[in-house]
Amino acid sequence: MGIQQTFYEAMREHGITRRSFLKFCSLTAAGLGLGPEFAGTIAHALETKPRTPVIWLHGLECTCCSESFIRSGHPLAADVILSMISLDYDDTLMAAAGHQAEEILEQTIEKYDGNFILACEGNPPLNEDGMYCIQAGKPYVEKLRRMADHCKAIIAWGSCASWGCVQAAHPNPTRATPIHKVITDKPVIKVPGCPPIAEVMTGVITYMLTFDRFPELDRQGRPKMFYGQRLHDKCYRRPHFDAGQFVERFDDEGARKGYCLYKMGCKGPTTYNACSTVEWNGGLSWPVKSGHGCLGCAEDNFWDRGSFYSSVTNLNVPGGVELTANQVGGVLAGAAAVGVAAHAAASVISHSVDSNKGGKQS
Amino acid sequence: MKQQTTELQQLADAYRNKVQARMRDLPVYNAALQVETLGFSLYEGRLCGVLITPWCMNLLLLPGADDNWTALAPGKTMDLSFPAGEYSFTLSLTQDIMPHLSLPLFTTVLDFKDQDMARDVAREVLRCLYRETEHKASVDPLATELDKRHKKALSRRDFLRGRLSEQGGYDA
Repeated sequence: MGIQQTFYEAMREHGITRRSFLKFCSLTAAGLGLGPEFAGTIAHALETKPRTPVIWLHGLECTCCSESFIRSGHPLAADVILSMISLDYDDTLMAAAGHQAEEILEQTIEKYDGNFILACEGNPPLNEDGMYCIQAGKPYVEKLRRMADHCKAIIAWGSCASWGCVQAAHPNPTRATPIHKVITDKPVIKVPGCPPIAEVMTGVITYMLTFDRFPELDRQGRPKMFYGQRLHDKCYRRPHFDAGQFVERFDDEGARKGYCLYKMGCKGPTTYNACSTVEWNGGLSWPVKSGHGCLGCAEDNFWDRGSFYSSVTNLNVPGGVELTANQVGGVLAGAAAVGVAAHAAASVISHSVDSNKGGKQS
Repeated sequence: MKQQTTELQQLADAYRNKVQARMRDLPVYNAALQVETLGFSLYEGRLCGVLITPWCMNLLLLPGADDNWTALAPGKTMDLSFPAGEYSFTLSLTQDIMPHLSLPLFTTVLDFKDQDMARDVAREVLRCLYRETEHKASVDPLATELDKRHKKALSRRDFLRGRLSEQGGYDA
């Protein structure tokens, strides 16, 4: 698992030519939506930086995050796992089992104390001293705390790790608790979704390895580049919403014509995710494109928000950023939106606008 | 000019007469607002401005003389450049309203307390849209973020201080 080996060296070991390596960097840059000039930045990082050890833990979860991750097309999950990172422990993907597997955790702490990334899929149940999730004879929460004590940063994969998801739904008998409420002294990046989009997962990892830091996060701890906008605002059916054309039944004329699914319970207006732009299965489709509303699986508490088929009545969701408004108006429209939300008068808007002029665009 | 005014009038009438009744009972409807087209002017051969309605506020582009949008798939996105940056518009082809490109500025307009407030924001949006800026918007927010960092070149002072990266590592 040598931490000294770089990504480039690892790729060469796999018989990959330099030409293919550079092509990989270009594709990765393109996959992250970057210009060709960033292929060089990525190539430089991957040539010079040692592969980062990653410990991937599984708590209460359904493994859909792993299922999604291994299907990433840009970059290929295989490239990420085999070369970009050093995936030292993942009880779903690793060949080792039993004591041999568990020993890796202690070895990692010994060798890479404070230098490995802890990727958490699922969450720990806290009731009955964590007895509802036992791994290798011990409560999962103990394993999580032990590894978190020694890691550099934590990735909370999926809605389970980020918010709690179905196992934390009312009445939450096991007291399933999201990672950031259990580990409070380490930086946590949330990558919610049930599961998150494959390219979002590998994108976050690639970014972290290339720049050795988290991408910019919103107030909820999600990367803005993927969770900066509500689905509704980037939905290809949005013009039908604006024109008052709705699907009223799943077999009606509107459904056949691809009208807006708001009345069928689509949670797009309150959900921050990249489904409508990145899409799923290599950009093939996404729920709305297949004719069903968004369930809002990337949002906190989505299981307890009433039926998937009743339309959204409360459109206020905490956190996130209104990217379009921010983009279009520069800083100004964003500040205006804040002022508007606070029911401020127009004069207050222009004041807050001025005080925010040096701020960030996104 | 007269033709443009007629076009805008038709657009507003379509929203007012055909769409408004369908939206009135939905929780996204803000009765304090009314349908209005605001600040439309020619930009690269197309009329561009803001549409305010009680249920949405969108940046709109009407087809220019050379555009044949009806042949395209509804919902198609087009990336267009403005002085403030690049924006991704969605093609709207519906039977009640003339073809246009739209970019939603807000998810809902429920927080606007009156039409004047909506107008102020709309004017401000247009002013910023046509203003040259150093940090151009991009259809890809990640590219924008990285671009900003890219541009923040290393100063000689920082170099001598050994500060090679602006901010490395992870903050708890």
